[in-house]
Amino acid sequence: MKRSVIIGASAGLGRALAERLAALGHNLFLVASDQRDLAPLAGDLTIRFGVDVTVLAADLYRVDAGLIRERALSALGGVDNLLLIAGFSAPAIDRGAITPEMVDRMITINLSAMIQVVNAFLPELANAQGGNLVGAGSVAAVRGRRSNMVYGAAKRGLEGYFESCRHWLANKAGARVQFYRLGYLETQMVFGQKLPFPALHPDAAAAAIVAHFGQDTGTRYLPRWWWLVMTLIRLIPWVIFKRLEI
Amino acid sequence: MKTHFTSLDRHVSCECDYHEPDRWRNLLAIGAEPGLVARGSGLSYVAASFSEGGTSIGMRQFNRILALNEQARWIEVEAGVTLGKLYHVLIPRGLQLPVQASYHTITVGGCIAGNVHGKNHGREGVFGRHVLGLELFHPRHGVITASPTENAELFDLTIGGFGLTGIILRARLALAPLDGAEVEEQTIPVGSLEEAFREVGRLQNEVDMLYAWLDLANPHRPTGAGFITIARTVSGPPVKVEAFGERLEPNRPDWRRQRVFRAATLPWINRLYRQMGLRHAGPRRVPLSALLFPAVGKEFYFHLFGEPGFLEQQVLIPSPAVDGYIPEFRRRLTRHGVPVALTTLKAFKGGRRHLLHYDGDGFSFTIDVCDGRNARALLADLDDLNTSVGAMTCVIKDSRLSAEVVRRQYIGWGELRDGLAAFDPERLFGSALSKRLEL
Repeated sequence: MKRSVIIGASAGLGRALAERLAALGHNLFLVASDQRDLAPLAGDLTIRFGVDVTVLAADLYRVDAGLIRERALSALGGVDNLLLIAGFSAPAIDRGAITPEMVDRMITINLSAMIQVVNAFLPELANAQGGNLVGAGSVAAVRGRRSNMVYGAAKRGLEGYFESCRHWLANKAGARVQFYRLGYLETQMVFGQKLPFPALHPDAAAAAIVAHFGQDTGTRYLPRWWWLVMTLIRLIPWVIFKRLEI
Repeated sequence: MKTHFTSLDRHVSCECDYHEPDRWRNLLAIGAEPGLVARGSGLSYVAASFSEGGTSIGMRQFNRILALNEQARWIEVEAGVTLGKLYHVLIPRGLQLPVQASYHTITVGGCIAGNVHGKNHGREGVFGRHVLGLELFHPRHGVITASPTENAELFDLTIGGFGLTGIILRARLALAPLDGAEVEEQTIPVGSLEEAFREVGRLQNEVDMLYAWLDLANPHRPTGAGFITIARTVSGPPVKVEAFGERLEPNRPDWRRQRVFRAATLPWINRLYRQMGLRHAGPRRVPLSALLFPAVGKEFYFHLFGEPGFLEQQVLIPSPAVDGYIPEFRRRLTRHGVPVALTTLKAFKGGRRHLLHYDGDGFSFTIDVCDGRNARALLADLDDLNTSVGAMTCVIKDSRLSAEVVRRQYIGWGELRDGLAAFDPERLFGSALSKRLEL
């Protein structure tokens, strides 16, 4: 029976992944900020799929990666898959100067906490043959712009770290690394917004991510067609790009 | 976000604010704004989950099963869980909800708020009878636990309270054992309305499920010939539970929403349907879901009324009044010349008249008609007939039912209104339905 750890499992893509992996028979260790969301999810998955689900309510802003690893190993007896889905953005204010606390929060949750967690699990991942290390990035990180300035920077940093992880694990009989530049997902982050491109349902995103398990895909867009959009955006000359309100 | 919602019968359309929280902290942060109401799958025939300028709170993300005790036969769920999800979890375990509404995406919260009935009222009663307890959120009162023994008055108001006491968060529901996931179904022809009422009354204690389909498509010859479908659960091991396909979605534009039901076409369509029903009279084995969720796979039916939609009138006629009701009903139908697209009949037994619950003894008689001037005149005429014979009109099925008619038909109208006002003097919760009924 496979063992999976999901960081950021209470809603959206993280919850969809938890449901999909439970349906495949994975025992799960779920981490999110609110026990009120985690406990119902654990109950639901246990009843429906008969898997063991352990939860830990943890604030990623003050993450104790050692504790997460210790509890996960205690609950699961090992780890095959580590999926880092949690993220934090504030698109309404992340445009120009924001408070130092907000900068710190966005960098911590999106980047340093993720690195701390992966770093804590690297010994297990190095030996997790057939396992997977999955990271969630964003198309917002592909080309810097005046919105999502800190968020985009943090996600780009995370992408760089996953690239390093992929290289580190390349010659080991360990986990495969997949990092996704996610486009719009039908979650609270975009609820009610008029979007220039269609949003993907979290269930569909989760299905695609699980379908790529075992593949050494590195960084890729999800959905794939975002590759074309972002390539075109990257090709826009600076003299034009600087005038765009995107 | 600003959203347009339309009732399933397409009679009411409103613009309101819509929020769909996916975390508890977001749900419990909802402010005390007037016109609040929870929304499940949005499949109520009437505008029970929205109002013009109001705020609807979507509960679809709160759809988890919290606990299941197979020995004690209860399940605890979040209010947004659907009947279809519970069906898939319970049937393989040899359990089921005793009362189920007719479509798989309908939520438990909606079933409680509407206190819906199922396929065998005489045996199982209404949905509220099987609610052991619930948790409710009201911005002024916070989270409240209610059951028949704790906050009993609030519990009583919430069952069949149309979501007007607050947002139902969770509920514990009693379960019933299941003999098998298949049923043996049979259709029996009936030649008239009189025969249908008589046979439904006679058979109600002999089978597990029972309803009649009757043909009143020709208003000038409204004999009411049709067939009665009876079903018995078949003992045996649990079978593979099938997946459900399409979802009814009244708010999305749909090219299939074309008006096919007209005076010229309905008699032919109903005649064909009757012949098909009798040709496959059985007995035959069908999945239990085919009986529990008869609208599954027949979503096109709602499209065939076209954009104007339809009106449904479902009335609970006391048994002693039936003999006098039928000829008078026929006379008024013929006078208005309105073809009926769908006519069904079920037996009700052993319920009690309380608040605005559609519950009691008698026959539940339902007609669907294309929305229009003649149809409204017919239904208004039938309102008088129904009131005069002591019948009750189901308020969650009929979008044009007035507060005046409801006051005359339900002794509990004032009790519900006063109870709501006592619990929530600001009356934060409301819908187009509650405004129309002056609750």
